[in-house]
Amino acid sequence: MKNFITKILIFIIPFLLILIISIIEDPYKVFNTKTYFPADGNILELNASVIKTELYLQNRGRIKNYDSFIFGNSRSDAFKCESWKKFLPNESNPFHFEGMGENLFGVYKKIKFIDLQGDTIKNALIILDEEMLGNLNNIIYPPYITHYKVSEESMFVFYWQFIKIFYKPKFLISYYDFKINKKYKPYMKKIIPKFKYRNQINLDNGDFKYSLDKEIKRDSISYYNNLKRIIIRDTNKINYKVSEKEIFMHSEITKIFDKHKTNYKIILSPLYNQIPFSSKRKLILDSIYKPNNIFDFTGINEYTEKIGNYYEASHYRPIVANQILKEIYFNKK
Amino acid sequence: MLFNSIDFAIFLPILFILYWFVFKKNLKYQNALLLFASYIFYGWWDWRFLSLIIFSSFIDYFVGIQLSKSNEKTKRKLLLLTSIIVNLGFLGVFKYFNFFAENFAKAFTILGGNFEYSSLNIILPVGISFYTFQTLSYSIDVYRRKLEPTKDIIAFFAFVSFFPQLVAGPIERATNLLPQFYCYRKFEYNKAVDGIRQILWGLFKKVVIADNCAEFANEIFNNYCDYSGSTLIVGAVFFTFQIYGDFSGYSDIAIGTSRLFGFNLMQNFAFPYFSRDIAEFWRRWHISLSTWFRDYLYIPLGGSKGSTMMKIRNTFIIFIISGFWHGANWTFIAWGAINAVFFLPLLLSKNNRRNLGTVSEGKNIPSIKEVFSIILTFGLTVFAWIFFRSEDIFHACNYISKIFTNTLFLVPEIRPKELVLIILGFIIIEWFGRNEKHAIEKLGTNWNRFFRWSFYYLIILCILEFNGKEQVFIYFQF
Repeated sequence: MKNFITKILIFIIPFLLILIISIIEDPYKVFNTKTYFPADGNILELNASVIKTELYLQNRGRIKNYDSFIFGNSRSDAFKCESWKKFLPNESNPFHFEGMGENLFGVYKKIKFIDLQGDTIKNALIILDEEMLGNLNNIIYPPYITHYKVSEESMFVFYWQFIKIFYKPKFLISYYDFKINKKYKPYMKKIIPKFKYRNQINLDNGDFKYSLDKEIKRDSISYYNNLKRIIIRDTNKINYKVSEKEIFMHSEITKIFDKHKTNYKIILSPLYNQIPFSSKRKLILDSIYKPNNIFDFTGINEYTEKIGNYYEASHYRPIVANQILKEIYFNKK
Repeated sequence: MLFNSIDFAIFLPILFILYWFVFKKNLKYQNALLLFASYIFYGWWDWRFLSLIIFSSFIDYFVGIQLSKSNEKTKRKLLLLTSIIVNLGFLGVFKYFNFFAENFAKAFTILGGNFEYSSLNIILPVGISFYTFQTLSYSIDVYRRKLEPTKDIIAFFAFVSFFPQLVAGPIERATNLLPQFYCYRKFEYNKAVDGIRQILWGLFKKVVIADNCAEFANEIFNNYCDYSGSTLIVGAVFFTFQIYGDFSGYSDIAIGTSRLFGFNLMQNFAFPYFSRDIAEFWRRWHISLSTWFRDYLYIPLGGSKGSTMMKIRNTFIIFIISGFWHGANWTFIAWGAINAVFFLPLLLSKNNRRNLGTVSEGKNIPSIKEVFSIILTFGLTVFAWIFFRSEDIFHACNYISKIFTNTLFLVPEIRPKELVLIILGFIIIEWFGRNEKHAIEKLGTNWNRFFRWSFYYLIILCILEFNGKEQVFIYFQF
């Protein structure tokens, strides 16, 4: 037995070393070895769900509790708390509680999480698109996985995702090559994707600041000339069937909103692909959330026509979000 | 709890230490620990369904005791019937109720009637088909007086719920596994090391082969209308490797894990894709289920004795029920029936026991005839797996008809070179290990430590580097 245990321990030494390195290195900033928040010099795109959850918990006791929330995936970044606050009652304190690649699972769990914390949700914006309704499970991948404190799933599974990646030889080589040489090489493209978003965060309300905005401000003509060359409207519509699970999650969200007497608005994002939101699903959402709470900006319209409204094919800019806020709160165009 | 999860990676060493260091000296405590651990393992998925296992265990324990006390034929039959009704009753409600209700309603409608039914909105408890058959084997063996019923309730409950093989087999016979719970278990170094080796190979099969093949097989099967005939063949071949990697990988991990705790489980797969005919394939594929059906259904029906019609009837019964065991869908029934059709010519021409040994015994390279037979058998199984994988019969028929179009000879649209190379490497390792219980049982054992460990590290690196997206084992749904 002693011999067996000794050999096993010797055999796993390299794996234990990698485990320790992955925690010390902590490129996703999840082990609280440094800080949770983005800063210059990050090599990898951090997990937005972790950033927002930790920021929310950190700020809860320190500053006045949040009572208004923006939910959604990275497309919700166009909506800024500062802009939204103008449409909310005085004294409202909004927080941007998003997740990268967020789906309905993440939104539902975050709303439930706030409720379980005993906080109130006076106002809510849910920035929705149909892609968020395809997969309704936690996405088990480092930048996307929902924080275990929110998802109510295994803590081990959560942390393991950020350790596991260090056991991939291709990742290790790319990561340290980039870290040491500070040069982005073509072979790294799929392994450590370059990121241009979420470089900075507003630590008061969780809004991300995009470095792309600076780039556009500096030379918008060449930015959009470049974009025109590569951008395409992907009009292939994928039909995501409405499942019982989806209906359950929507219903649970409304239950919590009803409990908090939340003034909520669900915005169907104006995507560049101009694919209209499925009418069948829209009817279901209408029956659950009531039609006056749902605002559909999908399909062909003034927002989706202009390329200048987008960073690229997937993400629209704050100028669009501000316009939408005016439209839904004051019915102004 | 999944074998390929971090939860299991934490659970296993903790249990191992408790088992061999804390409870080492007391067999009863060791069995109680295994029982407790097995319930945690199962409850990790959904603790509510533990009640089913406990109830099923209790019924069979009670039936066993009563059978030992009685010599009265009718009473004994009634007791056995109770066990069969309870066990198959659970299976029927949880797995087959909706299927029968739906098909009954359809049949009624065709005949001009109107039959309304409401389907049961229930989850299929993981592993129910496996542990049900395991407990049934106990009651039947006690009834047949092949086995003395146990009075050790902890040992019996631990036998029914033994965590390595609880959710996806091998379906152990009480005659093999139960007595192992009565004996004092001593740690054996060689057995434990080989157990680890088998776990490693099982993980490789599951994570590298099955999960990566799944990605392509799913894409092709789900969107078969968009692909050429040649790509559809690629899809079916990928599924063939997926299901083998998935299921035999699970069995390897289960057997290896059991060995760490001093138990020996039966071999469940014996390199089935190297079979030279379908009869040999069925002696090598899911052995624990095939032999279960052979002993408890086929032989009582008369087996291969009797008239030709009787043989045909029994063959179809056994294959169709075996298919139906996999799931409540006509596709599984069709899969079973197709295998019966493949098997019958061999049985009727008395060639079904022609290939009993290992292919190319004592040689490294097979003869041309053997290669031809292996490829033909493999082709037949690939064809049958199309039904197994399809959503319904129409899906399967359309898939097959789409293969035989003028796009059959086009270059496949999906040809992942990296995966094909890995599969080739995998086939070579399996070929050289085909005489053993698992492919790497002997491979490298006489190399010096540096090369041996390098080989194991290489397998681990492959598991870490090529781990695919699919995680759940296919056989969990059965």
